[in-house]
Amino acid sequence: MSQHLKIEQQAAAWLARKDGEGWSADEQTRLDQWLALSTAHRVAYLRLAAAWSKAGSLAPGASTPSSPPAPPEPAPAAMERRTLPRFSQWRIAAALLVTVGAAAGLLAVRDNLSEVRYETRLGAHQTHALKDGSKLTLNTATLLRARVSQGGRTVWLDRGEAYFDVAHDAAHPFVVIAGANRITVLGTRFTVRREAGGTNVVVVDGRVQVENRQASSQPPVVLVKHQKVVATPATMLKSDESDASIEKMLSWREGKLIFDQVTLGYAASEFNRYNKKKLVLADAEAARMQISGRFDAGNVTGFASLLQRGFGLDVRETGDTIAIASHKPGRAP
Amino acid sequence: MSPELHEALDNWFVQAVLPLEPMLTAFLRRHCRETHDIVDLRQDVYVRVYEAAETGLPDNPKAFVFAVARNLLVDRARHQQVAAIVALAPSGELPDHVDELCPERHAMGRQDIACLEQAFSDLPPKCREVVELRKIAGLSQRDVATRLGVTEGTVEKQIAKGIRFLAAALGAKGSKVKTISEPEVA
Repeated sequence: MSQHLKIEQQAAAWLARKDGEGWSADEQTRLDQWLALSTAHRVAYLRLAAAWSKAGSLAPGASTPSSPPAPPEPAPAAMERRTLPRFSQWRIAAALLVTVGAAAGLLAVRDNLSEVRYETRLGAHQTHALKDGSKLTLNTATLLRARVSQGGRTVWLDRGEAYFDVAHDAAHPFVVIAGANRITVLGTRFTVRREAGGTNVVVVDGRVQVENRQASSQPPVVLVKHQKVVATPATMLKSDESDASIEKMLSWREGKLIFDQVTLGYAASEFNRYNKKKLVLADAEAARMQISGRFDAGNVTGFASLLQRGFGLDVRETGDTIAIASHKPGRAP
Repeated sequence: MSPELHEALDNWFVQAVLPLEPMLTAFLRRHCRETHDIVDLRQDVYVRVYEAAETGLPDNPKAFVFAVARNLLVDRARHQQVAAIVALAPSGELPDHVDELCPERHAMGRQDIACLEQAFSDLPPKCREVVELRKIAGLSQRDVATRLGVTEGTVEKQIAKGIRFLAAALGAKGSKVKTISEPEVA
């Protein structure tokens, strides 16, 4: 056998070992030593690691020839490039991959004693630390229960939206239950948002697995950095998101709403998530208007007055309702 | 060498050098009659390129990689005392002109996807089952083992094999020559 094939076999064995469970600091040290031993080791390892990483692009929902052409920015390979430094991608994947079935058993018993309840009122957002070191940020009107014990870490998102920054602990899976969906954390930072139609999960960093608890025939979807899934009872729609859209989706943590060419109808529904005073669009023409900008989520009256001054819309405030119509003030009845 | 420098070099290697592999393999194939030497030659090219890059990154990675490949072929020919065919080849014969026109160097193109799909279907059946469960369904190695009723060691071995098959398939992308074969990888 040629020298190269022998090295390639060793590199593949390292990579496969690292891809499995129980990768230890000691093994990492030995791998680092093996890599430092010769450039031949290093290049063989890099080559296989790059191929193995690319192979994940075929996972359900990743861009495939049948899906619409992906915009150049969030292409899977582009993201992989950004996340390649120091094999961190594989380190994370290897350290945090968590069993799929384990969560089911744990959920059967609910230990009320150790369950902590967090709730935010309309328009508020709050950050809490769990005893394992994980941090949760709750968005407006959110109810969440968390149980952290030796058996595992489980959070029930009963309503609303939350951002999770999960402390690494491969031995204790971190599971988020959002209605019909179970989100198993294989990585670190992500948001979950429950809406009437389903659940959205956006991964900021690391890996997250989403599955439908009620439809076991649906295969679980694994999301990596900057991917989003919209899970409805029937489907899981996965997409790649750009840096800018991720920033927009997380802007609520600073109390901001960021819109980029969205309809006024959508903007109004976002404002309404945060405010007692609700925006109501009086006609379809107004609802279709495109707007962009950065706003304080709580300042709905400021937003309404901007619509009046900047866009010449008719704005009428009655009690807790702000009606917006496209009639020019002169033509208003 | 500092870890940071290694990290930068590793990234450069993955982004600028590895995507040239199909072209490099085809080039070596044209100039080397012994097919079984090609993977060794390619590995030697990578080693030389990486080590040269430690002293400074080349401006044009592609020209650099092919210059290294050409030198290596010449050295080898000299060493084997056979006529150095490569030395006589005009540099225009090198596929330099396609250089900046290869968007797939920078993004995962449809071609890559198609190539991966082909690569998956070319895997030996047992290996394919393991790799698909692990990489497409996203199961952990342990869960793959449970699902298939085999040991984790077996799964790890199949993964190691699969990784090499997939790398070989990606490296042969676009070439009509079938480079993945059991003997090469087994």
